[in-house]
Amino acid sequence: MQELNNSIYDIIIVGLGPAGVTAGLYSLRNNLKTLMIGETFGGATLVSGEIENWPGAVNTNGFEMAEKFEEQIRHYSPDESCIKRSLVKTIDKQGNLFRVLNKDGTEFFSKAVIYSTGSESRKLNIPGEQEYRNKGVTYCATCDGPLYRNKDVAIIGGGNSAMKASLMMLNIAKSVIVVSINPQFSGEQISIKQLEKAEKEGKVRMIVSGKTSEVRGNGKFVDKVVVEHVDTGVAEEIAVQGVFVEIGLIPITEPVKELGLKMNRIGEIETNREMTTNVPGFFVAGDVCDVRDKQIIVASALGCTAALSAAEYVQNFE
Amino acid sequence: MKNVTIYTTSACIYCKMTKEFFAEHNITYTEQNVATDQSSAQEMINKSGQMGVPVTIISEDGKDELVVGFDEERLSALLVVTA
Repeated sequence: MQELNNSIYDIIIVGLGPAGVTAGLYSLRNNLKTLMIGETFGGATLVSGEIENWPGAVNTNGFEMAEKFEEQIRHYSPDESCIKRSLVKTIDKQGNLFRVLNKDGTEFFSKAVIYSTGSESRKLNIPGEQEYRNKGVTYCATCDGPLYRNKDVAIIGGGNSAMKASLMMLNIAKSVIVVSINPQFSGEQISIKQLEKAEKEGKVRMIVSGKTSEVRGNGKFVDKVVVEHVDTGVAEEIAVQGVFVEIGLIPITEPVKELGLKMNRIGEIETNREMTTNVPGFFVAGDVCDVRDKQIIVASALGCTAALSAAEYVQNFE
Repeated sequence: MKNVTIYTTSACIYCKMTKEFFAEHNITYTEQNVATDQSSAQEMINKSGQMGVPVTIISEDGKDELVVGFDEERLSALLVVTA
């Protein structure tokens, strides 16, 4: 059943990750009528595992951070009246207002929107990947990693997420192979050095210029992954029971596809230093927009800027 | 009487969301952490035929219903929870 809230919000923030939470804090502290919509606090941070590059915390993790996010928002809205637990279905324009329709059927109106839905795991789109999903193929090392204790695993990817997953699995799996399609790994140097050290000790094998072309199995579970060595053209079949796909992210933009937003070639929403878009009143922050660095602290900073820009927009709203 | 068992890992958000759902609806359950208990992990794999968490098994009258992931709609239907 559809529930209609007739009051108009100044700002609706979509997404409860670091970008959305920071935007929420700034908007609430600015006494703006704010609604934050999302399924759970933390967003993608929740599956980040250990976090060691957030200032003020030598070591924290996604869970802990998400709990603190929620605690801080509740501090400004103890009755939770600014929080709507749902996923957004569509956002469109109704006159000069935005209409946000949720998957649970509720709808809300606002003068401005800060869109910070983040992104989801990119798939390899190779034979066997879908067939063996959750049967050896996984996109969440922090969730499923412990199930691969004493098994042979391959981590596919060369960026930060792949490095973190590899280091985590070093302590769990029997053997770890890291496969990057690029000629070199691009994650944080501290992680790469740790992995290179582990490689010298024979604990991990690092493959560069390796194109993962197929996941094979015995009908029930994964038992091999095929890697084509780009330099030699040789296809190598590697025996593994786990394939961890960590090859980047796809922005979540389905709910706003009718808004006419400008996007780049990989589907990220185009923005600028003020976090505005080509749709007046529609602001973006975090991994969903076309900023280079997909980092928690960057998402958080962009959420701040988006909130300040949105506040200015609301102030001049006619 | 329905017996509810959930197989989890410590850092799995969907496990946390499922447990929050149980708490919200006063559903008592037994938790098996497959990250720390290898025999539970194998038991979960045997029963569900897959290696993703969470897995919830709802047993009643010798019959098992199995839910993989946090599927709120299905859990609601199986546990007769009024949304």
